[in-house]
Amino acid sequence: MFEELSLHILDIAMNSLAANASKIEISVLENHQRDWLILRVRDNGRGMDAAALHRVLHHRATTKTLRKKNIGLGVALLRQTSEMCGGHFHIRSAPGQGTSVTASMRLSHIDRPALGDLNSSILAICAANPKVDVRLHYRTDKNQYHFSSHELAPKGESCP
Amino acid sequence: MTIKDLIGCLQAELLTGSADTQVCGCYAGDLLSDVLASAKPDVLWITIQVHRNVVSVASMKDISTVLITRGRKLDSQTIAEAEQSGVTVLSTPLSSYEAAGKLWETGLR
Repeated sequence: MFEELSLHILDIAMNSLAANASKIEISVLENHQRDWLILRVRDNGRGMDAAALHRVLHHRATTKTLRKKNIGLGVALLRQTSEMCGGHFHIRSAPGQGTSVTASMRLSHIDRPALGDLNSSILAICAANPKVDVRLHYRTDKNQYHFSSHELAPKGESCP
Repeated sequence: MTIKDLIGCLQAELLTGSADTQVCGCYAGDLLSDVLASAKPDVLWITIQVHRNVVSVASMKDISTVLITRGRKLDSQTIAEAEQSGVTVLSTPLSSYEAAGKLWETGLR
């Protein structure tokens, strides 16, 4: 549980970068009619096998090395947030198939953190590796907004 | 200070770990990312959270003891994880505010 959901998104997307993804798709679905907020981060990185997935889901997390203590709490914290707010949490992943993390929560749940500064999170992800195509799909009941860092870049170049 | 000097004033129950566990300070907080950022090693951590992430955070930050307030209890799997990680866990019927007040009175700073 981070203070803002945008920090969770940043955290999960950093895992995608660490998994050498060249494309990260972030979806935020705000469905007021059905009272759901659904976050999804999907990448085309190296993916995880069953054992790694088990570690991630059972707190014996990280594939990152050279840390004094295993961190790998990011996924566990997002899972806690979504379950605490009446939602569900799923990860789909397989080696070579990328990873998809989905966290839902009740939009109106009193403990649901605010979405926070999503712009800064997206900017940080783009800046962390400008070669990666970072996409954002933001949908509400009435509107939608789509962003792709590669569309911003001059033709043949990556986003500055 | 050891846990056994504190159990009485907190009316606490020892869920796992040793009453001889040493604590050298206190931290109160329910937002796990804040605790990750700010808690010092070997403190007693006051929280109302009972999710298993509490044990992961305590273990990562070398927090020696977790005090769960308002009479909440950890489930048996989480207690087993705490035991494995060497984290002492207490439960008190007091609120976090009352517990912090009692601990302050004992001289734990």
